[in-house]
This record gives sequence, C-alpha cells and structure tokens, in this order.
Amino acid sequence: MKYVALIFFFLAPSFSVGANSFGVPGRASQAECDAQLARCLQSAFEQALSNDQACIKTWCDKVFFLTFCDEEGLSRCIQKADAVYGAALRACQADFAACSGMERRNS
Amino acid sequence: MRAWGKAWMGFFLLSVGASTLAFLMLMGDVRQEDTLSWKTPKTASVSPIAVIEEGLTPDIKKRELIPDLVTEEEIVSANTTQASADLIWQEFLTQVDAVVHQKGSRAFHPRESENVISVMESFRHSSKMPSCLPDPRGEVLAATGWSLSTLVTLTGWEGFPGWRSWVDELLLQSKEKTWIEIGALRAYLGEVGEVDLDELYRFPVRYQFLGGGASACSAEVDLELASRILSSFSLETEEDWTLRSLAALCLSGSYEEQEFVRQALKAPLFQVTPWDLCAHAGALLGMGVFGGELAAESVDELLEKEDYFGQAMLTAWCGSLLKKNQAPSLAYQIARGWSRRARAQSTQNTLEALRTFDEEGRQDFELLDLLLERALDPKDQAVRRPILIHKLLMEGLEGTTGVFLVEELAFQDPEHTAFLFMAAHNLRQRDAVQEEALFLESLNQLEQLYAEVPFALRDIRSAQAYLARDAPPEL
Repeated sequence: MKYVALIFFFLAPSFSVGANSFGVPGRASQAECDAQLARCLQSAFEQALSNDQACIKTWCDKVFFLTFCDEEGLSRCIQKADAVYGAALRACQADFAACSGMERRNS
Repeated sequence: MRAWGKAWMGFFLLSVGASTLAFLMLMGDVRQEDTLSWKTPKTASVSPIAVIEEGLTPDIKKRELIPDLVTEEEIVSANTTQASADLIWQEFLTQVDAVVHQKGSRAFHPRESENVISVMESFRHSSKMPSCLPDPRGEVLAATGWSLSTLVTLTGWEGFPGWRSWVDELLLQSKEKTWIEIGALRAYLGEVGEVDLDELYRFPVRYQFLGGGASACSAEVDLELASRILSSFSLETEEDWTLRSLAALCLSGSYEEQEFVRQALKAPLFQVTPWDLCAHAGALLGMGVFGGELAAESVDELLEKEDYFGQAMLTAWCGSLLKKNQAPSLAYQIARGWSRRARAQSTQNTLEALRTFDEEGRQDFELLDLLLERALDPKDQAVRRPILIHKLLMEGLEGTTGVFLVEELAFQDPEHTAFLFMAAHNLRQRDAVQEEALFLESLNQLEQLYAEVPFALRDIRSAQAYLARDAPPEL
C-alpha cells in the first residue's frame, strides 16, 4: 500500500498541469491559445515521463546492468500513470476550449 | 392327350396376353390424342414443367432445359435448389450486415476479433455453401453495400460457373454499382498470392474491405474495369476509397508491360494535389511485388519529391525496388530485438529510437514502421505509446503516422481517445485537408462505437469541435 501511496504522490501534480498552464482565459487570441495548448501538452508530457521514471524506481531494482522488476506492480503503476496523463491531456483540452471560446457539443 | 392340353392352355394364355396388350396400347393412343386436342387452357391440367419454368431464372432455364434428357424430377429439384440457395445466401447477407451494423466499416479490420472475415470463414466451413448463385433479379438486389460486395467476392473466389455474367447481370439490375465493383475487383485479385492486402490496414489509406492474399489481375477485361474506375476521380463516399485502392492494385500487376496501365497510374502516383491516398497506396503495394525496372524508376522519382507523405509505405512495400537497397539500420535491428514484455525499458527504448530517427534525418521509415507495428499490438509492451504519440504529433517527427496511430489506438481502447485532440491539433497545424477529412470520418465512427462511454464521447466531440472551427472547404 505504501508503494501505491508513493506513486500517487508522484502522479498527483500532473492533474494540475493543464489548469496552471494558461493565463486569463477567454481574452487571448487564437494564436496565443494554440501556443498555450502546445505548452500545456508539452508540460503534461514531461510530467508523464517523470511519472514513468517514478514507477520504475518504485517497482524495479537495478543490479549492475540488469533490471529486476515486480511486473505486476509496475504494470499497475504504469496504467495509473497513463490514466493521469490522459486526465492532464483532457485538462489541456478544457483550458484550450475556455481560452478560445470553443463550443463543445453536448454529449 | 396331356401334351395336347398343355399346348391348348399355352395358346389360350398367349391370346389373352396379346389382347390385353393391344387394348392397353389402343387406350394409350386415345389418351395422347385427347391431350393434344385440348384447345382451351385448363389451369388444373397445365404441364407442371411450364409452371416451374416461370419461376426459374433465365440462366437456370438455359442450363437445365436445353438437354433433352432433363426430366421433370430434375427440374423440380433445380427449382428447389435455387429457392433454397437464395434463402441461404440471404442468411449469409444478414450475418454480414449484423457485423457491419455493429462495427461500421471497421467490420473488415484484421485486428477486430469478430469481423466479416470470420463470418465468411465460418460460412464456408459449415458446408452451407449453396450450389448455385443467388438470383440476380431476386432478393439479393435489396442487399446493403458491404454485404453485397462480400457476396460478390466470395462467389468469385468459390469459382461458381457463370460468375462473370452473373456479376454483369447484377450490375445491370442493381443501383449499388460501386459495391458490386468492389466485390468484383477483390475477386479478380484472387484469394491467394504474393500481395498481402492486410498491409493496407497498417497505413492511413482508408482501405476497408477484405484483406488477405492477392495476386495480379491478368484478364484484359479486369484491367479495363480498373482503368475506368481510376479515370473517374470520385471520392465522395468511403467506399470510393476502397474501390480505388483495389483498382490501382489490380493495374499495378501490369505496370511493366502495359503503357495504358502506366498512364492510368500516373495521376494517383505523382499528382501532388490532392493526394489520391487510396489509389496511391494500392499502386505502391502492387508495384513492390510485381514491379520491375519501370516501377523502380517511378519509386526513385517519388523519393525525390519534397515532403512526400508516402515514404513509410514506400519503404515498407517497395524495398526491393529501391536502388539503395541498404540493410536495415542498427536502430531498426535493436528495436526488433526488444522483448515484448520489456515494460521497464519501454520509456527509454522509445525515446532513444525516436531520437535516432530524428538525428538520422527522419528517413529511417523502416524503423518508424516497426515502432508503429509494435505500438499497435496490444500484447506488445516494448513501445511506450504515449511517448510515441507525443513525439510524432507534438514534436512533428511524422504527423501522418502519428494521427494514424492515435486513430487506431482509439478504436482499440476508449482510454486512448484522450489523444484525439492532439491529433486534431496536429492536422490543423499541418493544414492537411485531405487527412483531416479522413480523420473526421473516423471520429464519426468512433462516436457511434463509444456512444455508451461518456468520457470517450467527450474526447471525440472535443476533437470534432476543434476541427469545426474555421473548417476547411470540403473536398
């Protein structure tokens, strides 16, 4: 359980990536919104990379040049990291929509 | 006395027998005369042959009634076979329709677990196959597009006698000509051969029909049909894409020998705007297998083009034609050796492979193709998919491949729909009008597929809304 808690500690910041990446929504030009979207996606990606590394650090041991992993734990951790990355991407989308005043079709 | 008695008895019996025979023969003549003398039709007494003939198709009439030896029993049997065959074909069409209704044009995709191919195979192996083709003027005319195409191909592959004239008759009777032509072309290409049509599913070219093996089209009439299809530039519906892929593939088998084939393929191969993606891919796939010197010259010409979108396909299929037929790169060989379970190394491996691809001038399409292939295999953990997607789309390594990867992954698992927005963004940045039209089609299919998955639906609609802003003019 402590490992799971540790993973969430590493993963949690990525939820806020999207929301923090933009300035004042609704005021920016389209080009600015596009640029902000690109920055947001890049930031989410970098967070995803560090989450991957956190998973490997937690569930794998390196002995010289050999790596031994708890495959089940690593698999679960990476699944969670993917879900977090997905959430960050969706946050970027939502912020972009707000920035550019884009209408979203109701589901 | 005894001998005399026996002789008398024998003579008596013989006389009785002869008289009976004469009487019977006489009665027979009278009846025949009576039948022939009927002037007015009596419905109850009309010959059963005439009734049966009314229900038969012209082909059956010709085939069954010309020989003098045909008996009434045989005709009744033929009629029953046609009727029951039509029913069985109808059942087959319904099964295909059910899969297509459920999965849309993805119903043919080789990576789908239940697809039209599996329906076809189970039908063929169930010994249900009727002995004759369905009546081309009957219920088959009401068949829907993909199922009609499948029926035409299946019957072509099975080698039913009179299949070509049956197809001609069907083309005359039906309004669904494109679908019939798709089926006919796929049948012309055969079921086995050196070409693997599943290859078309690995690239964003919108081929959506039966994959598997194929060989060159050889008959002049097949080439004529293919050439006619390519000359009429029509890309209004999704089936047009498939039809053009098949037509170009059909022609490519005669690229070396026939001047008119080279002329017909000139536009799909070299015309820059708009790219005829589907015909281009069909031509490349065939040229890679059947091509010789002339095909090699054309491939070199393509490689000299700036921003040529089809480099990955060309490398995958036309390696034998490339003048610089180099051995696979070291990066390719290493990536090929990655364990399918190398989850722990997947992040680093993917990053390193893409860095090499970038540093080597983004030309190692064999490596890129391998990464794509491994990423699309759900059981292969060697490639880190989110990294591959981000690098291809956001860092501009190879947008076309990136968009394709996102689409395919979204069809595999709704969790991947989060990347659709990124793909839409990339398309708009590149101003890829034709690719965008195809992407929107995929979004529509995904919308139906994930109608019950709220988060996926939101992702899909976000991407649609993004592309709806300042939408480019329709093709």
